[in-house]
Amino acid sequence: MPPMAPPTTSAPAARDAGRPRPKKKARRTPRQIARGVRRRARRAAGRVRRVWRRSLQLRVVTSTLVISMTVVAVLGFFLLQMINTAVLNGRVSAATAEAQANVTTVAGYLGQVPPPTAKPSVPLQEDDEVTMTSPVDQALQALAKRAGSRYSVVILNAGQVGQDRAVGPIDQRSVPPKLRDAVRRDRAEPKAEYISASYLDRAGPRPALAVGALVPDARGDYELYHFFPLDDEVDTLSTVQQWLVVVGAALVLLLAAVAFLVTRQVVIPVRLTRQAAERLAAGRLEERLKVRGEDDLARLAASFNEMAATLALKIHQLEELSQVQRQFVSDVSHELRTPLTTVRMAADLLYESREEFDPAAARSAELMQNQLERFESMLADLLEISRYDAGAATLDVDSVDMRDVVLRAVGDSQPLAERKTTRLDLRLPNEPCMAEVESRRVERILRNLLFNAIEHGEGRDIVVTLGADRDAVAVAVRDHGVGLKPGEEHMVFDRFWRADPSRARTIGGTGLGLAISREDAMLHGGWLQAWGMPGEGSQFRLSLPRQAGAELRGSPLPLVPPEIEIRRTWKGHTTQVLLPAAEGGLDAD
Amino acid sequence: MPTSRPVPAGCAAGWPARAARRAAPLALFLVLLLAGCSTVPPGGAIFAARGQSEADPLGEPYVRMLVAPPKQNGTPAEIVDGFLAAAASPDDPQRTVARRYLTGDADRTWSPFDGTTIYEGRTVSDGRGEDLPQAHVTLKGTVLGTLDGDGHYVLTDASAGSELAKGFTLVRVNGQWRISSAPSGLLLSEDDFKRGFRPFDVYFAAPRWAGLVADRVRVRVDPAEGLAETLVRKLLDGPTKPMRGAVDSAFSGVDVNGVSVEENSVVVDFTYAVVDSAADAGRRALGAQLAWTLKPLTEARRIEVRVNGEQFPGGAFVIDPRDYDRFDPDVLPSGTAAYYPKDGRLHSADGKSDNPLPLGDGAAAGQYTEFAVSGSGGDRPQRLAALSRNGGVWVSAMGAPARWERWIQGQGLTPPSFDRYGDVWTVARQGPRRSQVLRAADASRQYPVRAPDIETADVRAFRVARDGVRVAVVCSDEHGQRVLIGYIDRGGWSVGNFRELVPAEKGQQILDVAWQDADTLWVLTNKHGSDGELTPWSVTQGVRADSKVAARVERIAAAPGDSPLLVLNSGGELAAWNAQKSRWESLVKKGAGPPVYPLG
Repeated sequence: MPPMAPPTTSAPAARDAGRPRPKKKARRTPRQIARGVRRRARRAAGRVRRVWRRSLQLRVVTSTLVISMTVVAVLGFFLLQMINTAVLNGRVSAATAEAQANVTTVAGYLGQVPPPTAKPSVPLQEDDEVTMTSPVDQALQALAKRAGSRYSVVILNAGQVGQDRAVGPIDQRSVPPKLRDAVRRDRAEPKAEYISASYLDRAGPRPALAVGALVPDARGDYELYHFFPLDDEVDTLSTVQQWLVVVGAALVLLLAAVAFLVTRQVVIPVRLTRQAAERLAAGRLEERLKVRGEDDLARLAASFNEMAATLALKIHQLEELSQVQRQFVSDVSHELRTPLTTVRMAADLLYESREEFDPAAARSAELMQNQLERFESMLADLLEISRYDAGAATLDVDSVDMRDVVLRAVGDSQPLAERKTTRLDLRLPNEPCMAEVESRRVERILRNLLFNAIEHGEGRDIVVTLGADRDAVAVAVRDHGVGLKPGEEHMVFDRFWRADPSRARTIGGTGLGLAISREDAMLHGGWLQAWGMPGEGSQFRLSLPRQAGAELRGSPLPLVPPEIEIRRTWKGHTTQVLLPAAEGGLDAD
Repeated sequence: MPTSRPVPAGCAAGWPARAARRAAPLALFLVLLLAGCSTVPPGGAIFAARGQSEADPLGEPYVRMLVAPPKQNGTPAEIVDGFLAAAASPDDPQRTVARRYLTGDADRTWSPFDGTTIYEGRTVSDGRGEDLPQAHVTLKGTVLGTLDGDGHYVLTDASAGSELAKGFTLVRVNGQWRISSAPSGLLLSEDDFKRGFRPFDVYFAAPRWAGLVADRVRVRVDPAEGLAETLVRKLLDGPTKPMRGAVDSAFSGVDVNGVSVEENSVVVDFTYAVVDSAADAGRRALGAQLAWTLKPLTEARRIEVRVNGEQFPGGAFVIDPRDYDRFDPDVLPSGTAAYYPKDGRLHSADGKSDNPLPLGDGAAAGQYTEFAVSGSGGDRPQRLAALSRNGGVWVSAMGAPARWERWIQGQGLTPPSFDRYGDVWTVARQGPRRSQVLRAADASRQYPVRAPDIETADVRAFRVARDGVRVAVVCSDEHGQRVLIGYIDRGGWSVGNFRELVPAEKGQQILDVAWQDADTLWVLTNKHGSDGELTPWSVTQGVRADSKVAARVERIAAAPGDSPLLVLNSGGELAAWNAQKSRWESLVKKGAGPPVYPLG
């Protein structure tokens, strides 16, 4: 700021300098506020919606409130209308009767011949009895005595001068022109109207009933208007209205409270039951409900407890049964081993000396030897799987290059492939595929898959693909054999399952290989899945996490071979969903 | 389950008894509920059937004239009638509607506040052709009276015979007849007057706060204000012209804010000046004036005085009208007995206490005539006054034996008359057409009192009313014998404001007058020596009621309330008027002297 600037300019300058900030603030603040409010409102709405969805009690109480409010409002309205009508009707009929009587009185006074104006002997005689000479005055005098302060009367004569009179403090401007017109038009019938009349002795207007009637007269028609104040009625009605509102509000609140209490009585046991069911589902089979009373809710609790008890018992029984069966298998396997060893020794002896036997016996010895080997491997498999069943299988992981594992497994299968004149097509990545696995088990899985593929491959090529991504590795084994029928993708892993029961096992599979393989894969936290189509062959995919114990989220390789997928897309078929949705399903059985 | 069977069986066995026990209160409750549900339960408790009071219990029903603007194409007579009607309406105090009947010039000159004339008559049009530029309408009839601004109504002397002829001139304004000249002031027909004004007594304090004096006024019915408020305003305005100086008012400079009814009491709200007034005159004087003035409207209800809507400073000021009964302007308690002299003793006319008072020793007893008895209240002893044959007014205490002392000396004195203060009054006839009013409070001195109106007349009787303010004077002058009513001004010691009550008639003799109460004066007249006539006159209104024929009556005495009217017939027969049987009853056959009630 220049020093010579007078203080008068400096002050606004300073203010100008200072202004933008508040201005900016002011400009920004509403939007911020609006945003904040909107955000908060949205959050609150979300909370409310959540509470609304979750709370049965809130819903019941709210709907009770809404319904009872509607009912009370409608009822109150009609009730008020009825009371209004009743109160006002009574008043109107009393008023019209009185007005009618007065009309008769006035007509009587007007009709009588005016007495000859004789000067009264005593002029202006005192006392209450003031005698008037004109018939209008006499008539109104009579009305005044009758009316007291209950109502006011106005009499008008449009045809004659100086005949307009009033009884009571009514303001003559209170005569409603509409009523006047109606009275003049329809001469025979008195008319009434609710008006807001003004009185000379009070400031504000006052509700009143105006009744107008015509008194025909030779000197011109007299119009007689009665004004009945309705303050009392209006007071009564407004009191009634207030009470109706109060009572209605109290009733609505009472109903809401009742609904709250009733739902509370129902909801609390239901909530307890739900919590108990949740705990039960979480495995706490000893969970039970407290049973109080004999009502429906108590019976629900009792049934729940009964159900839980039965469930626990059954589960226990099944567990025991399963245990017994497993133990039995394991025991049988073990028990068979000892005699088998003896038989094996004897068979080996026979086998070695088979050349000394005649050809038929030699052939028998060979057969026995083969079947014994198969018997032995079957026993081994049985023992292995019973270990799994007993939960005794343990994993001994080591970081290995999956390529070596695949190559070893392929090497093991090479003789069989050659025997079947099957070519094994290997598709391995160039860089190492390290994974924390137990190579023995993975080799066994791959061996099983390869044997399986070779057996069902009908001599066609078998493609072994190794894929990897950041988290997982996968090996897919694709054959082009008969393939699998729909639904067989899962059954292949069942124990002793056979695609075609009539077909002989050429390579002497035990029927347990794939089952064991799947157990092995699961032990690694991986997946073993199958795909197949009749005539298109099948593909088995093993997916494993790179790190032991990590959760597997996806596989680097597709389950359905890409060429099939492409062909299917071309045909315009929609893809059959087989993908990760099946994973859970596999685990489940 | 078999084990549980005995329990329900036991329950079933115990059920009827327990259920009955449980059901009994339930049934009772249901019955009560049903009874409560019926809208109008017959039978039941007796309750008070006192209806609610009316909305405006202070008002009286009244008929009032409505204002109407000039009738379109009205004839001149109709325009004048409409003008008179509009001017008579209380709805329009400024007469704005009435002024619409006037041309601009007439509007400027006409004033409704120049006095009010009450007439009886009708408008007469001159009946000339409608095509003339001017029309004349005359209001013809008789003037009945005039109303002063202070509400004092003065009857027109019937003898004066006042003809009314007020001319209205009308011209056409824009084709409509309008009044171009109208007589100033308000013209009210008799009906208008009756309709628009109510007679009321307003009460003021007699000098030295000795009691109340009624003042008759006409109160305008004002629909915007209410009768009670108008009446209170009238009270605050002070007495009417004739009574000015003769009475006092406890209120000075006070205005009223409003009069309302709250529950069972009437609330009168004054400005703050009422506090000073109460300090000067005392609450009792204030309350007495208010209670008595409002009595016809409030009846037995209590009156609370408030100041600007708040309680009276120093405790609520609530007036119970019963506490103020003793301020009755009639002064005498009801049932007071009269006295009459007989055989030298003064007898009481009630016939019960027959203990006649000797008037003097032997022959001296006959020396005193024309007795007057003072009031008995207060610290003064009751006294007896009489004219002595030897001249002078002599006074004695009412006690045996009479000890007479002369208070006023002179010859040709009228019979003495006590006022409520214990003073004795008389008029000395000092010669033809020369009279002097004399007053004495004790034997030490007599005072002449100025009364210019009657000093040049022959005063035959001078009677002070019981309220101590009004006097009735019978005098004869060039008009003949008549009765005048005047007022005593105790401040300046004069008797004035005389007004004729009973006009003189040819050959009429006024034998005697007697105050019945503050308002009514009985006048005994005799025309041409024929039978006498006994007529009650209303002093405040100047009107008479039906008279009684009084054949041989020579003297009369009257008192308020149920004390009978007493007459002394010729021959010394004392008779009392029995109002129930409507006939005279003889009390003393003969030998009685003129009867007298205390005061009056």
